[in-house]
Amino acid sequence: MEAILQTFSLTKRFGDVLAVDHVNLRVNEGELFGFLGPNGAGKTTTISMLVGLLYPTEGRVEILGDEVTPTHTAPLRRVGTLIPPVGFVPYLSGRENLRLLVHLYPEVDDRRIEEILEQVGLRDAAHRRVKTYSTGMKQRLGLAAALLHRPKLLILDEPTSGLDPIGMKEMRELLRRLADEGTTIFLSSHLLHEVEQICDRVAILHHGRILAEGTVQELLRGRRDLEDVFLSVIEGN
Amino acid sequence: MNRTWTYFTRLVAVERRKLFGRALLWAELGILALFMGVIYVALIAALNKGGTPGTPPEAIEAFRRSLYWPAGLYSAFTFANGGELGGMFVAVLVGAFVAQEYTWHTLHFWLSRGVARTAYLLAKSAVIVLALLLLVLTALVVGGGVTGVFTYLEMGGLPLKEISLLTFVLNFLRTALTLLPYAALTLFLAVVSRSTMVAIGVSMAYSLLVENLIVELLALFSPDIARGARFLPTMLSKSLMQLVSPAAETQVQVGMQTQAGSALLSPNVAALLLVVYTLVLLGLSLWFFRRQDITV
Ligand SMILES: Nc1ncnc2c1ncn2[C@@H]1O[C@H](COP(=O)(O)OP(=O)(O)O)[C@@H](O)[C@H]1O
Ligand SMILES: [Mg+2]
Repeated sequence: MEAILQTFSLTKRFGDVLAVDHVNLRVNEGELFGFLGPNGAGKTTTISMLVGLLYPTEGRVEILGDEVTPTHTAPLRRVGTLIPPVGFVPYLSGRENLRLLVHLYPEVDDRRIEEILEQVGLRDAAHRRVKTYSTGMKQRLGLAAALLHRPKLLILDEPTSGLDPIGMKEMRELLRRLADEGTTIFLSSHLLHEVEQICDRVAILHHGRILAEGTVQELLRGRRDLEDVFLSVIEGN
Repeated sequence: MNRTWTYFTRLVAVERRKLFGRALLWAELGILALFMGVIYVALIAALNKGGTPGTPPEAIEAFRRSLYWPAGLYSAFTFANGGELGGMFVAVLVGAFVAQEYTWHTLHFWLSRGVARTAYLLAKSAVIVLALLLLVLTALVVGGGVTGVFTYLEMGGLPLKEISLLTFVLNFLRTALTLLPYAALTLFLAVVSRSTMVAIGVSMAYSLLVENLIVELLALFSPDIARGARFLPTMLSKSLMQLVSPAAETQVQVGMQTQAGSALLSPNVAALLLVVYTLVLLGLSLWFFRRQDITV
């Protein structure tokens, strides 16, 4: 299987805090990969290095076969990213914010924008300025921005955070459907049941280190649920 | 090369939409226009009342002539120069436009989509230059408009023959040039501090306070040391603006040390140094920006 996203000994230190500690990840084509960890585990820091926002203290990142660093981010143009809080221009409307992206993705046209707005349920609010949006609406617009150019790979940091239960369910169903259609998805979450429900493979992150990794079935072997796996892994460490 | 250029122009289009869609830009231009309109009308009104009692008629006559085109037209530029109001407007505009990218996470949004950092900051800088030109244009339209009407009413026509297109364009560009180091300073502050308050505050404090303070401090030492002030952006701006609008600049300098005129560098050297300041600050901004951790 082809690796779409790989990290090698990826490490980030903030002063005394070792936020990410020699993390090796491998996400294969077509997988829905869950990056599971409690708050403060280092998920956002890892993802920030994946998308070239942070310089790794050590190690490196490869995406779609090409190395990504903060000064070489070209491979990310074929990736869809969602990192809340999503940075929309607050005084432009939802639709105008998506239209800005057309400059980056010339293959996207107005029809595609309307289609994606419909898909994330924002058609009626698309003319409003983003600063009037709720957190959930911004999150859904963020998803629209990530999906707009039909990327091969999605990198999503806690995509269901800020959504209500119905929104969460819709998001999970949408992600599962995209994965079934062939999109590779790397998503972080602190919600065990969410990851258990939709992910093919999971890595459990704690204090910046990967404590367990495998398919959901492999991790569940002999255990009740992922919570059980999670607690035993953390205690055993 | 061609693809890089296409890509760059697309980024400029994004930044243009972001800046020109902002109420702040139009509010600034509106304030400048209003302020200048009031000043010019007040000046003309004062003139028509004969000035303060005891003003020598020659002085009033000289003042009147300074409001006629072409002098009046060029005096409009002085309002937009970096050493004066222009510097303040640039601090607010550039500070907000750049530093808010960090707080709004729009920076994260675009960089995480594969936009190159250098191209991003250069596209922003290009759009900032557009905004500066718009600022100068606003000053020109308002100041030139009011003095134009005044000239027309007093003289029954406009002395268009006396206005050389080349001089006009050069003066426009000279004025915009005086704004560049202040814009670059604010850009640098915004990138390093990532804070709108710090960028605007420090840049304004510099142009309104610190620069003048340095001039006065230097003057406390020997005349030779005092001449070092010639190299400050505010003095470089003065040197250029003296070329743009000699009349207006002489008025401004009343009260300043009388040797100020002779203490200024030649306009060509001043223009060159303004460019150097700008490029150095832009280079430093890029250097920091490329090495920066963009934290959430
Ligand atoms: N810019 C920063 N400076 C210092 N410490 C940071 C910074 N960003 C994150 N951290 C620390 O790194 C650790 C991991 O944070 P983060 O990646 O945000 O975790 P998660 O996304 O899993 O909740 C935390 O201990 C956090 O306090
Ligand atoms: Mg996080």
